[in-house]
Amino acid sequence: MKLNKILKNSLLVVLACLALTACATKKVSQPGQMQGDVYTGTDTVEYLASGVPDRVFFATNESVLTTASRETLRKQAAWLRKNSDITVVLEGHADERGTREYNLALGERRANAAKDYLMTYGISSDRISVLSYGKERPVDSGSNPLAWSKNRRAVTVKAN
Amino acid sequence: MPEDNVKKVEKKKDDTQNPEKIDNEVKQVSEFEKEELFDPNNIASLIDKSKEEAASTIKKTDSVTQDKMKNLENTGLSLSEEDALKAQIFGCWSIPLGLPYDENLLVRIKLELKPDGSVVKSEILDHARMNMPGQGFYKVLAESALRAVKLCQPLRVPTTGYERWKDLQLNFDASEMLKG
Amino acid sequence: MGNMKKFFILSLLIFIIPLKSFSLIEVDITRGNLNPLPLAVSPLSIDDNSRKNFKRILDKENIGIAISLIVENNLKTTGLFNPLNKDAFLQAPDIANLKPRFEDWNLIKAQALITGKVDYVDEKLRVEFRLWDVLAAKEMMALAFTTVPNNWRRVGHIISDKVYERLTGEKGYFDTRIIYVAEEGPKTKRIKKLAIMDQDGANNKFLTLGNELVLTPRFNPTSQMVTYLSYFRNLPRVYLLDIETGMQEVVGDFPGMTFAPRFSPDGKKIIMSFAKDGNSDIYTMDLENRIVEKITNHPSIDTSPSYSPDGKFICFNSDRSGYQQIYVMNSDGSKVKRISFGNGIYGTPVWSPRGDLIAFTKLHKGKFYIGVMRTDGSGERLLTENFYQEAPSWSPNGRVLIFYRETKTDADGKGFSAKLWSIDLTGYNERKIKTPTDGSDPSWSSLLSN
Repeated sequence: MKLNKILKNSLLVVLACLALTACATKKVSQPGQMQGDVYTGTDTVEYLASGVPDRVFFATNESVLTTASRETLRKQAAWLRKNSDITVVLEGHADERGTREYNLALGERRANAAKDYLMTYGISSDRISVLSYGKERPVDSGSNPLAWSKNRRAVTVKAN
Repeated sequence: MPEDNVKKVEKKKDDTQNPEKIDNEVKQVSEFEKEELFDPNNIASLIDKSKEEAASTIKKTDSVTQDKMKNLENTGLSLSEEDALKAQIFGCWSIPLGLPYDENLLVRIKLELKPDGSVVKSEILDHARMNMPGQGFYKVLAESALRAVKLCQPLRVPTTGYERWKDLQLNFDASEMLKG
Repeated sequence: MGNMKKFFILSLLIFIIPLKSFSLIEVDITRGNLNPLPLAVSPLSIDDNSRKNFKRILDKENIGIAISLIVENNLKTTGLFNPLNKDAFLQAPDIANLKPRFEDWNLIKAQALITGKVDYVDEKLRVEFRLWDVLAAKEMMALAFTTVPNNWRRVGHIISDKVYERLTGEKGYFDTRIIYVAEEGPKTKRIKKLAIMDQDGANNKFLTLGNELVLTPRFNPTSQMVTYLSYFRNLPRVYLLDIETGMQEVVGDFPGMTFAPRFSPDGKKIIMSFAKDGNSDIYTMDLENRIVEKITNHPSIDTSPSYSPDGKFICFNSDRSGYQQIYVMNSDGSKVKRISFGNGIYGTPVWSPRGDLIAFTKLHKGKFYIGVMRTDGSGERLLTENFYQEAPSWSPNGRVLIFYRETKTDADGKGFSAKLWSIDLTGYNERKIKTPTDGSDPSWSSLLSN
């Protein structure tokens, strides 16, 4: 009984914390995280290794790599050269504001843009496979320009 | 490629500096759209166009009835007599909603009337067409017209001049209504 | 000679005289009411013995009433008919089916009347029904058929189709099914399964378990096979599924993602996109001899192909102009011609089963529209506007479009839903279709009874 109560209370605390952090991040997530409509923040970014971000972001309906994206990919290439046994999957994504089928193609195009760049920095195409999710796997479920910018991405995922 | 990027970044900078514009962006920025934000009145103009088309066809039919008026001057119904009859039948006629509006569907019904406006006989002038294959829509329209006449009788006929309107032809044409 | 002359004059007289003396008065009726046609669906009559048998087999108190409710609901959802409240009916179902008292039905303003009878015969369900023109006081149609009791819902749909055809002049769309993607779970980790249901939402069944992502299922012309995209083993490929046997197979052996599949109108080929090195082109594969043909060859994204019903043309979606637009080409890939020129971007073109229109999704100023245009791109009409909607699919008679619509989430990313909707070609009669879970990517089958 007592234990139950304690559990319940702590659950409430956890929930309250969650609610608070949600509010807190919302306040932070204002302008400054986008340049044009390309996401420049770090909220969703994970790291393949220290200092090696796992993803690059795109402008609406674009697959062109930005200066920042190229910098990220050069870091990934350096890391891949150092760890020559690692293979990766490049996952391409689009935001929710397009038709499903076109978005699948667009995600594939974005992933390939990143793959091509890695290849120009000496990574063999055998080590990179490409997978488009279109708009099926957003990281941010919001329906606003910032959320959409986070979702327009190509993510490098370790495959082995 | 690089210049392209620089240009875009500059353009959007204004937006981020002005918080009021962000809300605007919520509505407008979306995947696959951007420079295509042309004329805000475009959709309205599409709608306007369809209205214009409808209006011009109405004019056309108007002129047809005017021509007919000349014919009717000697023997026909007066304008108010015709209006009364039309108004009555408009109320009785359930236009079959599924009909295509772009097909030429005109149903002519010849009526023989009693002095009190009740129908002695009704006859579809292109009756053969009713049972022709591929004329399903015509049949549906014809049946609806016959129902309208049945539902309306006795028809609102003038109190005098029975000989004039003892035989009467009604031309049912739903195309204007179906075009909306 | 003289005779001929006489005859000529005589015929002239015949023509002229009636015109002069009577001059038939003509009145043009160009207006009427656009209210749905009031009609009465009388419960199908049933004798006590049959009623008890069906109750035992189907667990339905009165199958006659149950079938008539299906008919009533179908006709109502068309927006073309107004089924009247049964409480006002004055005549008992069995007598109405023999000889309706038209004055009674006229009194409640019914213009058409449906009556019928259900019998239990040799362990089967026998149904007869009649459609009456109340104002003309005559029978318009009578039909009888026999089937297994479990098909009782289809009986209701077939009656609806017959009545619809007799009253509108075109085939119905009630004895049909919808295949779609059932969705559950948070937006970031959506679980998707193939699901199939009757056109009215009944008999929902899941066809896959949800272990892998599935998208865009589409029926073949006989509605027994489905082609769709599956992420089985994280390899997005076009698959073929036999609904009856549950057999599945990959379509072709492509070294990359294949997607956006549809059947050709003869059911012999699948047309789809294949993405390689950042470029998507359109391919076909013959299901008999497995021959693959490349139809488009362009560095842009070419996708969402759909055949014209005669198989001679293909409409598709390409961004070769810079943005998504709709193009039409010959089925061999020659003579590519852009047809969408309005402002905004256009996607998901689908050729109507009548052949005269192409339905599409349009994005303009942050709003999504479902619309139709002629096959040369003229006569664009937008039927519905919303925050997000796409992927129209035609009813087999080309009168109704089914599509899916997603809601905007709030600031916390909550409130997302995906639902199936339908709308008439006229832009009226928009309806949400009830599904047990969220749903997307609907595809309408052909008429099952033909």
